[in-house]
Amino acid sequence: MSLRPVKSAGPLARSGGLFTLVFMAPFLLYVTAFLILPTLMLLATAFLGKHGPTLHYVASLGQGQTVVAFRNSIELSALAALVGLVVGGLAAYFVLRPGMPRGLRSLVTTFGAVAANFAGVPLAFAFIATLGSLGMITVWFKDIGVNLYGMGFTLYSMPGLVLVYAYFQVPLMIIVITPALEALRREWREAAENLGASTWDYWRHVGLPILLPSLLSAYILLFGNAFSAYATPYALTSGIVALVPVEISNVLSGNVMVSQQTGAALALGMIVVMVVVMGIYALIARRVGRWVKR
Amino acid sequence: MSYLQLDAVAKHYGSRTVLRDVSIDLKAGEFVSLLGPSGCGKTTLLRIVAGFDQPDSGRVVLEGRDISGLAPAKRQMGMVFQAYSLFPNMTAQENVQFGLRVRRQDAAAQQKRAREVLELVGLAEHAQKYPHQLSGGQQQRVALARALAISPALLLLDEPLSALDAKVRVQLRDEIRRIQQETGVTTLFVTHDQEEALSISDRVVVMHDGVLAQVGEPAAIYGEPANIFVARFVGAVAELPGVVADGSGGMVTVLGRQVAASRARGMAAGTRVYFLLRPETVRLGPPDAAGMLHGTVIARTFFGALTSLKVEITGGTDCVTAAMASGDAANIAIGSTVSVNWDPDSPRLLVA
Ligand SMILES: Nc1ncnc2c1ncn2[C@@H]1O[C@H](COP(=O)(O)OP(=O)(O)OP(=O)(O)O)[C@@H](O)[C@H]1O
Ligand SMILES: [Mg+2]
Repeated sequence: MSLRPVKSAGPLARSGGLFTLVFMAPFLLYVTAFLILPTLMLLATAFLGKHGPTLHYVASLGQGQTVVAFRNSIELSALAALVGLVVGGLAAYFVLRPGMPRGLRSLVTTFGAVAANFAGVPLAFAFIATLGSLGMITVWFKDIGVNLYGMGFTLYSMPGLVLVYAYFQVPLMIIVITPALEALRREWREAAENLGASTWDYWRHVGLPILLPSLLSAYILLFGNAFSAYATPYALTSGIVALVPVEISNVLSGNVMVSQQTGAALALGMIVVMVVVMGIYALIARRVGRWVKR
Repeated sequence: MSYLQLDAVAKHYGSRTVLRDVSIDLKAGEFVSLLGPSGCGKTTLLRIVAGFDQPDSGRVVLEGRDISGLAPAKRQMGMVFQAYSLFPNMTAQENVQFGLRVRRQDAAAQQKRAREVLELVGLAEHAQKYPHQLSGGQQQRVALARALAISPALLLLDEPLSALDAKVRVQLRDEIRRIQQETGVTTLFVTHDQEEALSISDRVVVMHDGVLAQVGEPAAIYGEPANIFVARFVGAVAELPGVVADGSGGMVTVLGRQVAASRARGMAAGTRVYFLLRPETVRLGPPDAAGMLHGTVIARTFFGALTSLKVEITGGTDCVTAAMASGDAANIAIGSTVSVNWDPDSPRLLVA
């Protein structure tokens, strides 16, 4: 093959030159069009006022209402991701245990795929119909003498939102963690047992450490999924609990005012949060995945 | 008294009987192989010994103590699996220390013991590597070291070499034997490879469809197969239909000719037998010689030092294989007619 350049110049040439370029081009184009350009647009919008460059809109992120929205969004996402991680992880574990009927597995997977995508307005109304102040379950509970709302519960609050988010977080977790659980080899468990390990020893020294990188990525995915959820909280709480995606919608569609720039600044803030979260993830992942084959 | 005693162990999966009343005794320090074709129940038996599976009936007795109901973690047995059993998140040394760690031994003792056994398997300098940084053969050595680290009452190996290439397989096989003799650990070794079983065992247990076909020393298994299954499964053998012609003279009628076989002595005339010839006992000569049988050479397989020639016996489609020094075999062309001879003590006869 004499087509290859004598001197490899840069990463493209190193990894196969023209071929790589041809096959990578559509992907690069896609990334540019739908990831890089919009981000640049956001940047430009957020930093450009009527009279040239300005820090005004980005600085407004520090205002009380906005700070609350960010804190709420981060707390809600962190909590909803944790609930999804734990409940979904345990559910997947029990479904995959040997001796469970095969049918259960495909049932759960199918249900998971549907439920993970059942979000937005329909989900919100489904919950209002069941756990709203006049919802079916709320009323049932009242009938047997338990007044949920009297006890301080309300669907239109942080705990309520976590509960609603769990509806799509748990199935998503089941879907993403199943392959990792299936990759735990029976030999590892039996070797541990054979060497005298208790179930707890096995999970502590073998099972969980092996799963940890997958659990971390799953957590990030769940966090991002909750962080960007918009339609569900909008339909459910619109305004009661301030969340960043809802705020963006407010400033763009103009309940109070219309400001493209403030919207862009908020979106930029979300990107920064995700970048920071992923940075932390990268740091931890490197440590917990030392043994992973690269 | 036997060290490990399997007493009428039986196991069914649904309506399928995997083991029927298997009884084996191991002496302390003995190396015993379980040999048999795929699906005959070797792994099942080993897993019952390790405690991973429960027998439907029968007992596992170790040093006089019935351990049938004991959890695997309490049996103090070291098991080596076929492949990929090392914990991927631990270095070789951490893997080896695992059994000591869960026994809450102090760190210094753990490390000392780990170094000892890693040295024993020749991997001391790879102690800090993760499994994926080791070759398949090295991984199995670490697995062996890990099993040995806990000074097991019994070493159990389930086809530990089958995922390795031929050369490494032979190397590690010999090494397992050396290590076993050095440590004196009583060992149960599962394999479907008869050469492997014959070459490293004190005794071989040949299994067939969940029953013991024969138990004995390698030479006995090869030289005196107890039944036609063992004869066919262990080593190559030519199998001709025979009828005892003369019980006092040691003569058998094979393919219409009376041939000598001293083992026919004492058998009733007219008994139908499998007339068995190992390739290395068959001698080919010029066709005019007073051969016991005659035939035509139809195939040749070169093995290096040895060459085997396949001879179709005249008057039928039955074949005999002769193994001989490659130099001698070179003088015999395919298609040539030869006489087929043997020492009268060589043929084995099994009642058909
Ligand atoms: N958990 C199980 N459920 C049902 N049948 C099983 C189970 N385990 C083993 N068997 C059956 O029992 C028989 C013996 O299996 P086993 O694994 O002991 O064979 P083996 O001699 O080790 O074979 P191989 O050389 O292929 O490993 C097989 O027919 C297998 O299908
Ligand atoms: Mg097996």
